[in-house]
Amino acid sequence: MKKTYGALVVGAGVGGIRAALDLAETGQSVALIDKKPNIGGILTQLDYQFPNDHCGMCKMLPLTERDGSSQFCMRKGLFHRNIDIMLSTEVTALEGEPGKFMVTLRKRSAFVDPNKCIGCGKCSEVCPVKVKSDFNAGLTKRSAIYLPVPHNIPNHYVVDLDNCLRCWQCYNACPTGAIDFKFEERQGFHILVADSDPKTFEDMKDWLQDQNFPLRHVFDGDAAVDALADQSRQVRILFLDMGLPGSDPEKVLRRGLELNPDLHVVLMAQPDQEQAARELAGQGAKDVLLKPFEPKRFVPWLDKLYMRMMSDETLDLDVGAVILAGGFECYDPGEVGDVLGYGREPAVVTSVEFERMCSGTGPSNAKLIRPGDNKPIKKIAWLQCVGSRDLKKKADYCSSVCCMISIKEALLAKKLTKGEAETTIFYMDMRTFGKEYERYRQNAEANDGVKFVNARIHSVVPADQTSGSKDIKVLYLDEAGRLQEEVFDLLVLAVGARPPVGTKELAEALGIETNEWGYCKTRYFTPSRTSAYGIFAAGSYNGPKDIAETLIQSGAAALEASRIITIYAPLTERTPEPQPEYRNVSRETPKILIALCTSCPILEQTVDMDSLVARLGGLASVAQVAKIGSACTKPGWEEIEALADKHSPNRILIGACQPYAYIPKLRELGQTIGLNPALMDVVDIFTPTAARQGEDKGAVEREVFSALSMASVRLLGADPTPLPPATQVTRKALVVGGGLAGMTAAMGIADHGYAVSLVEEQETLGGQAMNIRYTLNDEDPVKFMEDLIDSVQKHPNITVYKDARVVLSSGRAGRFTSVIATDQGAVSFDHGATVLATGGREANVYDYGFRVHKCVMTQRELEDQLASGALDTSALSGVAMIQCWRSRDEGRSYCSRVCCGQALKNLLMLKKRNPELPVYVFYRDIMTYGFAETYYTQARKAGAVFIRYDLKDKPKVEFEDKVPVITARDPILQREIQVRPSLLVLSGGIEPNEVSDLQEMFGVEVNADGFFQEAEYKWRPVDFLKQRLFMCGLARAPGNMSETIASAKAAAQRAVRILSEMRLTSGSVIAEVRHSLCSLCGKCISVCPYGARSLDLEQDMILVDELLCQGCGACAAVCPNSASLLRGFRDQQVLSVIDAALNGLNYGRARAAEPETATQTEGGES
Amino acid sequence: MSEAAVAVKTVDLKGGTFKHQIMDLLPDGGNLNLCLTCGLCSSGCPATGLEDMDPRKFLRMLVLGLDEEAAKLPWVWMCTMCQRCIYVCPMQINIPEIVYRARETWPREERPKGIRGSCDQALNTPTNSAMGAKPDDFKFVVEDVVEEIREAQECCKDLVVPMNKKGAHFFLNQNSREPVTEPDEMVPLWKILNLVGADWTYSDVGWGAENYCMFLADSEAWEKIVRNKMETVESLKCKVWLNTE
Repeated sequence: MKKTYGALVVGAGVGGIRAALDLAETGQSVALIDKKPNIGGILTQLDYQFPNDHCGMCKMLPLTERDGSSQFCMRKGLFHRNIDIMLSTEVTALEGEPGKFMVTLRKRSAFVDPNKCIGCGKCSEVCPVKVKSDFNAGLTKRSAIYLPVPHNIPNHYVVDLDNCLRCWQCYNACPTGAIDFKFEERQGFHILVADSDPKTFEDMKDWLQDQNFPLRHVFDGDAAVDALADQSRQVRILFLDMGLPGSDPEKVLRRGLELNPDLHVVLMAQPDQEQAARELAGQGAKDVLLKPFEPKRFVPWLDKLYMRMMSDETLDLDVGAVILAGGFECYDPGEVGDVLGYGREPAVVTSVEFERMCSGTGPSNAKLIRPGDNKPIKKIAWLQCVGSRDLKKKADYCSSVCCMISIKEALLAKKLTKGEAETTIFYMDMRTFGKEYERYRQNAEANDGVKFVNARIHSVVPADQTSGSKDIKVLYLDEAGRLQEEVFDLLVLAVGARPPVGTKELAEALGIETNEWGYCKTRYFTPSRTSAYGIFAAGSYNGPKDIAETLIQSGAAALEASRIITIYAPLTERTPEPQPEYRNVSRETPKILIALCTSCPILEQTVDMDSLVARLGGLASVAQVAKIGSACTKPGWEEIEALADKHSPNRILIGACQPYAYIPKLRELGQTIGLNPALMDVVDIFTPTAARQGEDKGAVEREVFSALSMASVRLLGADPTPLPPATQVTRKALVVGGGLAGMTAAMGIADHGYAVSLVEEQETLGGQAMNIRYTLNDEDPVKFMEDLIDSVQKHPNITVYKDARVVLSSGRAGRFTSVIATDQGAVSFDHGATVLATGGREANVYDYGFRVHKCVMTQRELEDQLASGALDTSALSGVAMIQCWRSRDEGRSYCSRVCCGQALKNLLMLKKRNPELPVYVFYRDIMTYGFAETYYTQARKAGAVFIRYDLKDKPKVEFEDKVPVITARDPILQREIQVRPSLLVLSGGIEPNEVSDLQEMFGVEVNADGFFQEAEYKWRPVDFLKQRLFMCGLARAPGNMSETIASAKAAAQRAVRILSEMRLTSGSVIAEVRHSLCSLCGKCISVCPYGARSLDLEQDMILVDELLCQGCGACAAVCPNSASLLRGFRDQQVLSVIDAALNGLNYGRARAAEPETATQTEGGES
Repeated sequence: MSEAAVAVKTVDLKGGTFKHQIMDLLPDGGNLNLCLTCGLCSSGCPATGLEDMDPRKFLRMLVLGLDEEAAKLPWVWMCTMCQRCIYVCPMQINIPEIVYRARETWPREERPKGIRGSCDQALNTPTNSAMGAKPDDFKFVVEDVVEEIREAQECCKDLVVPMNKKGAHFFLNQNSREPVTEPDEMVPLWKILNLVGADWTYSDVGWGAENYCMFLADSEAWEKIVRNKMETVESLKCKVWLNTE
């Protein structure tokens, strides 16, 4: 049956996941597909992420309506009730229009039944194939039947058919019959051989006798047509000889396809017929085989063809919008291997390989040892820009992420070697342009001793050829221009990004444009839109990005997609799901039903089920223990429902496999029988049996019993009182700040039908963006801003307050009331979500003759004069620009990231008007990340001269007759140079606006630089820690207009997520306070990372906002009186679980001394 | 170029005639301005550090308008034209070409005597040998060595070294250093050619493989020498010219 989704998200890396979750959380259904057999993209391979150098992917999981999705490590898997994940799946065709696209997907089979595979690995052990493991970046080998990633749950083996030898050994080794090579089905799979030469058929029959295919033979074209018309034995594959007599091959082909459009025609040709065969293939034949055939190649080829035809699926979906999140690939340095030694020297690895070397699931168990000779690695070099910023490799762009990856890897190496590793990074410009990047770099250099050398190395040679050592020697020019020779244990190539393989084909199938480097093309002011309406670019699909920006881009894409889908099914009109009614069992005696799934044959082989059932029946409060068929199937589940109906238990415990898969089912069951799912649990009883197969039966049984008894006492102690009632949401938003970010966010929210109040301090809308007169890529920012202001002012859902301020805000998650002071008086406004977009400004530091001499100006002033025509460029003798003027320096240790682009923009404009004009740019690191690099190239090409300086030796500026004289040291020539331009232009950087009043009002933080502090740098880039509050634009971090628009849209999508709910319910694991024991010490308030706790002075008690609470338990741990409790993890409950676990250890002994002693677990009620 | 010796220089990007000549002559202005100053060229250059110079500094001087000064540096004669720099340059800047043009700006008589002498020697000899070896010298040495080998080595009794063989497939030339100073070093290649049964020949004229006129940046002489060698190949009607240099 054709399924319908709100959106299709192509690519299930973090970018795709973010977009999918953003939509799913608003109630949209999402199909999330990936061509790989696992989710997570490149992040599955990277264990450590800047800036805290560990993982944090789980922070992307929903914080509200938590129970609707998985709440475990996201590297292991993802589940959300509105997301269907389809792996090994690709888009093959798209038709229709925005709102109603018809998409065709091709899903490649894994040939392993996920319901049967228990992950024991026997198949992989017997497989004779060994190919490079993608997961370990080629550093280890894997079989042709393998686990795509080692940590997934569920983790099922998949067959890599391309590398499979078709030896069937895995098939025979599988203990559960999970591997499906469709052997029986072959009898119904008819193959017709149409060839006048009887030998062809005889050979095939001979070769294929073990393959179980019904093979038929016809000698001429007419007989072939007759055979094809026989519906009772429908032919699936036709081998058609090019020299067939009777009806010619073309006719047979045409007729065959008329009769059965899915007929797979293989043309057989003599070498001299190849050309004709290829031409005919264009008319619908799928393959051309040249005669004679080699049985060694032919048989597996046909077998694989059959397997694909029988097992691969074609899926048709109707979707409202499409989001592309294909990520990027890493550049393969194989082609420069000759000079850098990659592939030749084991000491030369790529950055991804290095990450794998550092990983606990990598080739060396997180020990830094060198591939090849296992030498402990102590001295490591990183080489930047391998495959980036290189015209020769057709990569005139910066890959944006490699600089930070290398710093992180250097720190990681220090950590893994307890500080012993010597680390050197060879770079051209350290591109630390992102939020907190520069500080990270400075700390790495100053505190951790990472060495940074501004140089590239030419070639890598063995350090000592005679000794056989695998150490390598590199030559480089040090900063003083002296040639240095240094020996390293390891050289890590910081490989750049390339568009994902298949981008071109996908772009063609979808009708979208790509840019000159092969990435998906998007426009400056619509950074998430592709050239085809209704298809959006998320993550790194339109250019390489770090995690934070990937997620922002994905949020923006989700908003755009949501806008399209909303036109067809407006969120505001959607009826909310009925709130489940659970019966109050708090006054009932606990009564546990235990259901054990017995579908897996291994369980009964390894465990004495009768004894297990008897012993479970003896546990406290266990009313029934039942064995059922397959719990994961419909009949199995109905058995459980019938049992629950019959015995009406108030706790249900299920022993089965893959507990996470039951989360939605438990919720349904809860609704059917009126029991809160928090009083149900599923325990994995199969992993111990599979993992310990062959061991003593008693040991396995003990482990299974132990797991079940622990869960049963936990359920026993579960708090049966109903959860707090759902909170009604005020479905309106407040946006503070009427600049580009605020207006964009307001539009995004208002377009979804929610009322927005937009508060701007100034008398006009527009903010900083109004100063931008032109862009690097020839867009018209003035017109864009005029149109945006116009749209905002005319929008029926937006109320604009100019010359106004928010003076008061109070309330709780989902329901805030704020007071806006306007010149008309105070206005009170109720809202459920808040976006703070308070902006920033160009920093002015009075220095270098600024505001003293007319010839000194900021880049913004130069832009203004160039745009207005006030500046006569032909009258200039030269222009000097100084970058990082008081940026990345004491007091402002961050990069403002827009200044380099702005300088290049003005420089290219000057050069366009006066090509002969000398332009000098004094810089520290040119921050032309991403595709902006090409403008740096253009600027140099136009003749601008770039002169690097460092903080120790800044350019000196003096004035002679009002003419600036700039003296600086050219680091290349090691000489003092002087320029006397007619203009000196300064890049001042961006400062955030003052927000201390808002900080106090909304309870939000700013970072050391005064920008808003997000909940998490990477994983929640537009969220405040305090929920329902979002940030965007310059108040969040410096960024150009395009980046500001993206962050505003991402923030709007987060707000829409809140407003899309009529009411919000808390998760089942939340904190509570026992007020009688509370001494109001307040420790829990300061420890709560989510700001969920507050002291109510009127009632004199600590309150928990159950929507803000994420159930982390920090409050319960810190409370000196045990007054803070975590539902589901009360002391008594946890202690009982420990008791049960210890009891389980005695199981064998207790069993020998039947009858057993009573279990030690008394009721866990508190 | 020690620091103290260099006065503060007011930069004039226009530079002198040399820079203009380069910018006008080379495709894309020699990509001169594209330099990222990454230092890749210099870290692989055998002439780095000589005369306190390296290819990056050389290019930088051109960019900053110090082109006349750069072209006059003796360092330009230390480049071996090995092309390791352009092989890796991410901006595809043809540094050897620029060095060649710098050499061209030197009056011929001021160019290094050794290179100049070798070029002149090659021009004045029909063999194009930079060491001035005459046709008969070469013939004699080759025959002498062949004879010696035939006698001394069991494997090589039938070793043949063809001279002026018309219609041979390969024309092989020879750096003059070997026949003049290290004749035995010619033998291994003969053995290989013999073993595989190659149809090849030497010639007693136009056999000098080296071309110092190229290093001298004397384009006219360079061309003259190449033409002379080509005529030899053509007169022998050989199909392939194997240049062992």
